[in-house]
Amino acid sequence: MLEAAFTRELRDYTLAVELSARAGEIIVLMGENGSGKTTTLHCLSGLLSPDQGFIRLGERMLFHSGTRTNVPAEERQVGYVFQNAAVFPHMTVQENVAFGLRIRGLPRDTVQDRAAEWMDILELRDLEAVRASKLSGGQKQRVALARALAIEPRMLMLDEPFNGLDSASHEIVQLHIRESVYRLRIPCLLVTHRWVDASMLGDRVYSLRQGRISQPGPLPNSFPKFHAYEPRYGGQTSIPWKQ
Amino acid sequence: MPGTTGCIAGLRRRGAIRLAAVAGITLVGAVCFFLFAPIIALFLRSTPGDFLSALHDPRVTQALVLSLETAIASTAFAVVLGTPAAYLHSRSRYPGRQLVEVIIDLPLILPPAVAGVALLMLWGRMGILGRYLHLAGIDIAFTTLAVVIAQAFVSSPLYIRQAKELFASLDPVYEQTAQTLGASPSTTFFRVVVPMTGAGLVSASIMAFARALGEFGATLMFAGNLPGVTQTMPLAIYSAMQGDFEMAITLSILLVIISFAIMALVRYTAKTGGPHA
Repeated sequence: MLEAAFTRELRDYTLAVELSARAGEIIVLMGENGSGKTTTLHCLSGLLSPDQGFIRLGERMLFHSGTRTNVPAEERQVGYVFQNAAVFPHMTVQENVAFGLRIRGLPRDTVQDRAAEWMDILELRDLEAVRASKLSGGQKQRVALARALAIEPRMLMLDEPFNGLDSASHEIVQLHIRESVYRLRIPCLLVTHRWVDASMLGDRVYSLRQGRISQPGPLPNSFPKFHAYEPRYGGQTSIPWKQ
Repeated sequence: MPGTTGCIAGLRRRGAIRLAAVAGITLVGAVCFFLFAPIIALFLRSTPGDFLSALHDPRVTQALVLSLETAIASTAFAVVLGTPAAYLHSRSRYPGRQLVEVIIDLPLILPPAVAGVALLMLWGRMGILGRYLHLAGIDIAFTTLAVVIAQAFVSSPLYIRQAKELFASLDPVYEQTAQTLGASPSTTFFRVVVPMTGAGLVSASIMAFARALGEFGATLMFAGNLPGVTQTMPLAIYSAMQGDFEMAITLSILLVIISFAIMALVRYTAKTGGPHA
């Protein structure tokens, strides 16, 4: 369970966020450009520090202005997929996916196995040895997702993960976000401006306006919903609601 | 008739274009002649045989070795200290940042002879810091170390300036990604930032090396002109000009060849590996 209530002074307004996300739940953050969505994710992941308030993940206090607790980003174990995927262009797909595991000093075999597992899941195995700079937008996004999930994060932050994806990649990424959040039983925050994605994936939605966050609301049921279902791994990626 | 006037206008325009092309080619040619003719003239004064036999002259090898050693040392200084400094500078906002920018750029516009005198005023035997070092038995001026200091003083800003721009142009999202994946700042720097800017850093360091190799004024003032100790190639050329003209030409040709090799290397690294290749 992620619980957070904090403020941060920005140039034009004060960001005041209050939200919660249960394990296995996808919370959607919506709002216009510059409304504070990305800043919210940065605060939760530790890339920025709030001025006041607290952020708690499970039993662990990640940030508390009162007790001056502030766990640095590298220790928060947050899976973060940035807006433009930000794959490391000088590394291969495998090196990208294994990056977070390798720097943890895990044994070589463990690193290879786990990276291979996530590459299989996101259908990247054939691209293993390809330099990330040579990938298409959809492939980069999948690499970014695999890389974020490989560290077995305690929460997942997705900033516009569907930007610039073709429909095939879009479906794969969508499916795997749902399955991974379910499988890892972690809270997930999804920033998107597309209602289709929000209502297909999201459990609850918050909207941000000039740094003010709304009460969480349910999502409209106008689109078929990806609901929690038994994950089926092993290469199958057909979309369940299509069957 | 409109047809005829149109035709004449067309001819006129074509004539004007041709004239502009001729003027342009002449201008470019004149500039190239001005810049390149002296180098040709230098090569014409020597024969390959003379050049190769003069290469065996111990005075030439001594100056060459000293030049390479000191230029490598001053470039290493610029890279080792300058890279992290440029990175921290480009990634942080702090009071006096503008002032630091000016201080870094200052040696680039300072006349080298002035730089040499200034270094002497600080590190020389009577200098502000030098006098205490002298009391401790350490003399810097007129030693090989002084050559390295003079070269580093004029060439490291060149490197730092380019490194700073490279880091500033790197999207911080890559560092943020590495951080969320658990990388410490130093891991992020060495595994992500340096490889992504590597080609640019290499060409910046080659430029700094070239500048150090050609350093003359500051070295002469601060380190003197002692063969084998502080007499680098440009100083050896200067000395040879007083009597041994052939020697001066050989040394000059050697420096031109090295400079061309450096330029080729810079172009090669710039072409083979941009930051996002």
